[in-house]
Amino acid sequence: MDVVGFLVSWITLFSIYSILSISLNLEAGYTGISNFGKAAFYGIGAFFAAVISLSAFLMLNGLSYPLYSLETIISMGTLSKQNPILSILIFLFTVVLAFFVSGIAGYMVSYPTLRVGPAFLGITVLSFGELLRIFLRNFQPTGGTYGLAGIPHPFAFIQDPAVKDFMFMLVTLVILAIMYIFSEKFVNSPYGRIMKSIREDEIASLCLGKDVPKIKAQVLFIGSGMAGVAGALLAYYMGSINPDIFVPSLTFEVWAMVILGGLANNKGALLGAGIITFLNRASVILNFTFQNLPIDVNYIRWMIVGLLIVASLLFKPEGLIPEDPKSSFIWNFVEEKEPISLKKRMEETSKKVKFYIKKVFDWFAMGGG
Amino acid sequence: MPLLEARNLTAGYEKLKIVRGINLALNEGEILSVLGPNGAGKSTLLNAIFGVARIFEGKVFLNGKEITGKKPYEVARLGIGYAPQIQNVFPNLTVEENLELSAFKRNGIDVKKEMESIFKLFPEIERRRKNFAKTLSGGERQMLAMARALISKPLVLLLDEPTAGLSPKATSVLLKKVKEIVIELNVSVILVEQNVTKALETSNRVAILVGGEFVYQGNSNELTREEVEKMFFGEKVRQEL
Amino acid sequence: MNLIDLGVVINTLWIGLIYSLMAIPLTISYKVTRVLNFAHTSLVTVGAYVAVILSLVYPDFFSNVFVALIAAFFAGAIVAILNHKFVYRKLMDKEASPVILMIASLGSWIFLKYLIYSVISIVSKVIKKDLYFAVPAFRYTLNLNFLGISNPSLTYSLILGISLIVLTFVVFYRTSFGKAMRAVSDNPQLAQISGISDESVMTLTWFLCGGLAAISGVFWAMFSYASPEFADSLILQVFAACVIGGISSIALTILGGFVIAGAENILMSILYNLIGLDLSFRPFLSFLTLLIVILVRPPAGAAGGLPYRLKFKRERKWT
Repeated sequence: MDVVGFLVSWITLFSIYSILSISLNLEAGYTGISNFGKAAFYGIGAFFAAVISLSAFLMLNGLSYPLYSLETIISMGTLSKQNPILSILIFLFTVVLAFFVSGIAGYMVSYPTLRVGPAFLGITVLSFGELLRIFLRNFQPTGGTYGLAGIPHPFAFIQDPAVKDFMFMLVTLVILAIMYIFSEKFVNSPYGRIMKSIREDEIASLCLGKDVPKIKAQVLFIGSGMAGVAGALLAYYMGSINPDIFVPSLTFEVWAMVILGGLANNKGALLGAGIITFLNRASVILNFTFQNLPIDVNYIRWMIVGLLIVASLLFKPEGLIPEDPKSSFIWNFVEEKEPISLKKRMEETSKKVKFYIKKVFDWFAMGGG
Repeated sequence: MPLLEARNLTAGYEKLKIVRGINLALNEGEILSVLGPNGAGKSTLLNAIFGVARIFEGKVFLNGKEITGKKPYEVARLGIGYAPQIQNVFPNLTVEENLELSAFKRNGIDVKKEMESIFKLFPEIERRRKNFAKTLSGGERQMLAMARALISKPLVLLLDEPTAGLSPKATSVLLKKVKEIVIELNVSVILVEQNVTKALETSNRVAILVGGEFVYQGNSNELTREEVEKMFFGEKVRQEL
Repeated sequence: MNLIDLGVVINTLWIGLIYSLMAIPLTISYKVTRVLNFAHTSLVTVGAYVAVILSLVYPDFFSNVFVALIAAFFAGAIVAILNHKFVYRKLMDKEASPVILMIASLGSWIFLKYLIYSVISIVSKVIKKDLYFAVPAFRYTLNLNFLGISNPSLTYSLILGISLIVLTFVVFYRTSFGKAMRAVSDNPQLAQISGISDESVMTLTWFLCGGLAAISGVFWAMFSYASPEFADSLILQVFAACVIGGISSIALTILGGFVIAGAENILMSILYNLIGLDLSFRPFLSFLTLLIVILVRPPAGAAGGLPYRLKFKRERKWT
């Protein structure tokens, strides 16, 4: 068995799913938005990246094949190897753009749904995902149920497939690191505390003057954008995508990661992603090894995912790594701050008292007017 | 033998012990007022008797039978009626349905007949019998809650601040009703009250709960309002005021 | 130009009935137990497959629709009750919030879904028949000519479906069990204080809801075919019907089922004939209906959100 190949594919998948679970953690763990449509934004990112990169390559080479056709797939095989810089540029460009496209989709979906409770939000976003999937299945320009294939790999110019995959793994890891650091900074900022306050009590945050729907919409923008980036990475990694990858079950896989690892904890999200993606890869290998099983191993994997969600809610609702309120560095700052000396405080108070006494005297001096 | 008895009862919610070491006995046909300042644990005491709050220690007996740890619906079927302070009616059910439900699964009760006799006691809610309970006023709701607790012919009636939020006139009417009920339906009542004067007028006996413990139990005609208030606040505070 | 024909109208009626039948148990179970049951679609699939497999394995006994319906009813009810006992009840004892219950129902959904897949793949191998697109072997003993519809399965399910809906109304609003259900839905703790065991009411509710969901699955299989995915692909429509009813009103949920079916069939047919709209846009119409409902008449109350809504002022009932 190819251990290195297994590790590379696992880590790549782990990075992609970790981006998803971190983004879901931002929404569900920190802000309390029950987003059941993660797969939709993931799919938007994937299809966007695929369509843009395929059409960019076709356009730059002056070809006019339809996006889903055998000619496209064949020509992509040679075209993607010709110009390394162009391949990588298009890759980076689509990944960044996928963030904004998915994010804007998330922002727009948030408009009607954030005004209703968590149950309706869940239903609507889930329905949105199913809507997109069923639409894409019947939409011929993107290949219908077959989806798009031949998406040019950014490192297609490298001959050795192992090195190619390794390079891609490094890129996904770098992107994951960026996302992780960003979300750590983000949730420990003042904005992050507003997010937590919304999760704890929406009415109380409303009374503190926070524009709750706006903040939720912004969080959904960021979360969906991150999911879009993950989707774009998936499209380049797999080389071909179809609408049936983005079934609701995928959303629940991400939910299982976040719940298992611990809500409102980015480290937990990583751990959960690690466990679930390991199951994913292991089931692929098992499927290869035992071909004559009466049941598809994938069915068993999905059942385990479902069981994990229920079991962790029942027996360990705080997750493997619980939320740590002290991890926020603003907290440390408050702890370490020197207490104001009594003398200084008295001075300040007497200054204030003098000021008010003077004001009262002035008022009398003005004749009570 | 007392009808309802609590022995050395310690109860609360989750890990928090709110009332400690309560000994309480309710005899047949009497009204026992439980008085105390806010947060003394009066409602928790009732909840503990009823099995809603968690009991850490001690036992509760009804008519000599132990009811500690029984589920609330079992306690209700054994013959205790409870009218909580808030959310004490089903808003989306009509008045009649509210009453019918309380007689649910109780053997030997003719619901129609009972309802008429209850409506005789509470003519105020009889004219609203077909209306949804969410359309009732505060006083009417309290009466419906009492009627709901009474329709299953309980031995003991627990009333949690029935006069909270009512006007002085409605308070008098309601407490007069409580006295009538005890005579007509032959139930014993534990009445949790904030209004000391009215409670002393209504009840036979008084128990005063401060900080989760009983500081006084005795006949209500031996006490004055001032003495009760002294117990509420402690002697010192009163003198300073 | 003929924008719609009679076939589309009859289709709408029939599909609206199916949607209503699928949405009613979802609404009732949410009302009573406060669980938004995403595993609902699995119950529908269980019902359809139990009836189909039984009718294929024991054709002499289960080819009668009524027997198959009863078998499906009990299968769905048992799965729903087991799901309640092992997941929701345990979580409720830990005082989990409705959101946690909802997430747990997602877990049950994904578990049940792939359990069904596994069972189907095993049974397919045992009885040597492809069950992924299974056509049931029901026979109809009566051939009614009802409103000029000669399709017997249509006639059957119209009559049965309407009588089931009426029966649900009777149970919910006229019987003492229905009253107990509404009492638990209003205030579970007060219901306990009044002597109603909330656990037995919830168990019975799941019994009824699981059974109804399973029956709606059999209806669908009767009309077309059963596949492990068919109920999941209807999730948008069923939930949209529930949202139109605010997940609280049964009558509005039924209306919602017909509105969604109308948008999908009648409106689609009109748009197709008028502007040549591609048929792949059909789900967009149901989603659009859902969005319009959420925007114009946002559901408030237990399942709704806070009253910050659209910019224009409107009177709002606090319930």
